[in-house]
Amino acid sequence: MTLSQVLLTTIVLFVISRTLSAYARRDLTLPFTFIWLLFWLSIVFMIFNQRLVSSVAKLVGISRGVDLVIYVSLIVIFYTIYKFLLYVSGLEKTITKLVRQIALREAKSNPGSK
Amino acid sequence: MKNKVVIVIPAYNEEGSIDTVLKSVLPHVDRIILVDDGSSDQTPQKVIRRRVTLLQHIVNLGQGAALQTGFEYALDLGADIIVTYDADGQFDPKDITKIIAPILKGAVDVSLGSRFLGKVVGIPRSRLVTLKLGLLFTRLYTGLKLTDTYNGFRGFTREALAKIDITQNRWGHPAEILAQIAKHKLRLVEVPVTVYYTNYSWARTKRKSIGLANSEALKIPFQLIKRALFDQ
Repeated sequence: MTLSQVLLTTIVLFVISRTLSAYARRDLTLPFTFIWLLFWLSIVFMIFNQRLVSSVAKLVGISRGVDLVIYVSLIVIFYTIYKFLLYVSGLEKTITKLVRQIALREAKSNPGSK
Repeated sequence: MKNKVVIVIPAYNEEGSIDTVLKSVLPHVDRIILVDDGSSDQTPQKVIRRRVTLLQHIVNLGQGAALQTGFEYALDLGADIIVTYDADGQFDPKDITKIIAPILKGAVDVSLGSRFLGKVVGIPRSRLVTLKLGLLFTRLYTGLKLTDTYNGFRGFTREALAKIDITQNRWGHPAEILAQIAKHKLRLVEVPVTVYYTNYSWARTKRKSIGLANSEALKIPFQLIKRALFDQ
């Protein structure tokens, strides 16, 4: 086992422990926890199977395994950000609608001007 | 039949000017709709005049959102002509007559105030640069050739306003309103108005820093791009 494998695995184990704590506190749902753990376990798999990752990279025309990991990560990160921004945009619309309806209802229920 | 003229004034933390503004505007309109956009000062408590309806947002959403709330109430009230007006005392209330005149004649659906056709008093140079950049952006974004695109002094017929739907809560709404005017091919005219950069109004901007006020305007293209990409 190399030093980098030890360090990276330690970090991943820390993340996994925090995830399990959050699930125990019911801060995370079971489906999300499952997918999140699967993701980090796949990271550990890649840490200990770098030759396999390199083989897959060469198969798709990328010279180094780490480059493949970076490209895939960037795609996933940007797509996640996009979905998040869509969600926030939807939230903002909902909040606006609520605040507006409250303002209009209160004004209509007090029709007399000051 | 006399046209019912309603003015919509969005306000956020304008306790220093709002009473003066309301008093000066009242003689020119049938009703004022003041939309308090979640002020943390005494703005709502200053509204103590007849023919003024107060709508209150429980949290601050932005001027665009406040205008849309006011629009919906004004249309529900049966307004024939709706004017938008700023709460910080920068406008001359006598210009309300100029804004609604072409609408009363039936010549246009929308009248837009222009400080560059009228008069602008005390404008800082940085603000002038930002406004001029805004003209270029609006021309590219809407195709409209206007002389003043960040002016909150506007007049609409009821039918025209019913076609306007502001979704940009904050500072993207001026460009959005113009884009919708262009989209619906509403007949418009620019009207010369006076804009005063008073000590009060500029002090409010300075508290947020001049750079921030101008940078809010410069964020507008990005807000519109964000809307195009992420609005469902």
